[in-house]
Amino acid sequence: METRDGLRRDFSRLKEVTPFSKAPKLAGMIASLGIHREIGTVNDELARFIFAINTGEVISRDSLKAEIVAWRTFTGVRIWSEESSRLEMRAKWFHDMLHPSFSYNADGSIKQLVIFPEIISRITALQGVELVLVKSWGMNSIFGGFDPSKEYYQTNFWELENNDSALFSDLVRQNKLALLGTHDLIAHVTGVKSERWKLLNTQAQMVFDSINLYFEDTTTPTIASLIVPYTIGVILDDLAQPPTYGSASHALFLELLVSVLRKKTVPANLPTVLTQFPNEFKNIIELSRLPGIVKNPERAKILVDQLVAEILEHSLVKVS
Amino acid sequence: MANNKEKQVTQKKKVALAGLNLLALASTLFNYNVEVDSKVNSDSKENQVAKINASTLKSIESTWLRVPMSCKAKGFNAEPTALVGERPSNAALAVYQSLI
Repeated sequence: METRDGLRRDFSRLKEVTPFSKAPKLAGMIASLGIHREIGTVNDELARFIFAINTGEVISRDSLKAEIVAWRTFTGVRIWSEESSRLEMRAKWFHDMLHPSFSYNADGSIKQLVIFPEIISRITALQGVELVLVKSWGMNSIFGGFDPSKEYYQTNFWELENNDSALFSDLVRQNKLALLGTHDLIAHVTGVKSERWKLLNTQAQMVFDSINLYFEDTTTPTIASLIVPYTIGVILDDLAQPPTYGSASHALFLELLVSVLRKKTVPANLPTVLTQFPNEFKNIIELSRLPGIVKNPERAKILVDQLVAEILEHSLVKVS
Repeated sequence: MANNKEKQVTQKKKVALAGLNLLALASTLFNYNVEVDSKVNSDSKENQVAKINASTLKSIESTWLRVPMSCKAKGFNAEPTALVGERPSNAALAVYQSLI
């Protein structure tokens, strides 16, 4: 396999969005590196689903190790635990992600997770979904700075500042998914189902159109005007996860927030410093994940109105 | 504890003042209530927005950190579930088999 610097150089020469099918070997290496880099860290989204069969307990994050592996012409990643060699993955559909020849003990338990992203791209293609590399995302996460002392990925601020929701919605409306790390693997790629994507395409198209219209006269938005699009992006990300495909509670908040963009209640070119991240963001995301909110849409509208009020309240420039 | 609070308030005031200084400069470049003047130098406007955003990110970092990880963009909205008898799908197995 190439050196990390060589991979970074080759990756940087790609277009912004590159289907796995157009550069399968490079894509396999980049995706493997992205997954490998996260294993055992705070950004490892596989860890909490890996359990030891003997104890029934979740494997400790610290015990998880990973290495890049090769099989035939494929590059992949091998993940194992120093705590146990009899594991179970408590994530539905994840067995499809594991190479059957290398991942299992004789008794059918999981010995290690051996994953080949290029092969996975062929499996998702059967569902009509195309795996892609996204250059800016990968340069920020895989090849970017990661400070282990911070409890959040630097990428979260980057996603806010760079209006990531626009690109994410653009991909999903076209049946594309990025595979660059553990989140993509377990949250989006695992369990992808073609019959659920028609609605998801429509939702992503609505988000894409509304964000582009909102910013049509603004080339350099401030963070204050990016909060609502960012919130929309988190909700759309949830909707693009197989366990929450078609969620009515998410759809309710999505419609309400898109409406805020259409009305430009927060001006798209609001040139202000925001002094506080709005507290209602957390409440909206938490409630969007509770099915019961659909019985109380008025409550959802109140929260969205309060989000907007908070953005304007914590802006140093007041909207007249 | 009181000293820490005073320090936090002072720090917040410093950030707010820094922001106001930026805005005083920014307001000479564009006004959000009217059409953006096409004669405005777009590079300069980008620089001003970059400075405003840098100030915002510093200002909101402490409140951002209080947002639970589960609400951040890259969260997987599912809980571990013990599965009985789950195996790879036939479609996936066929793909792996074709490569052996």
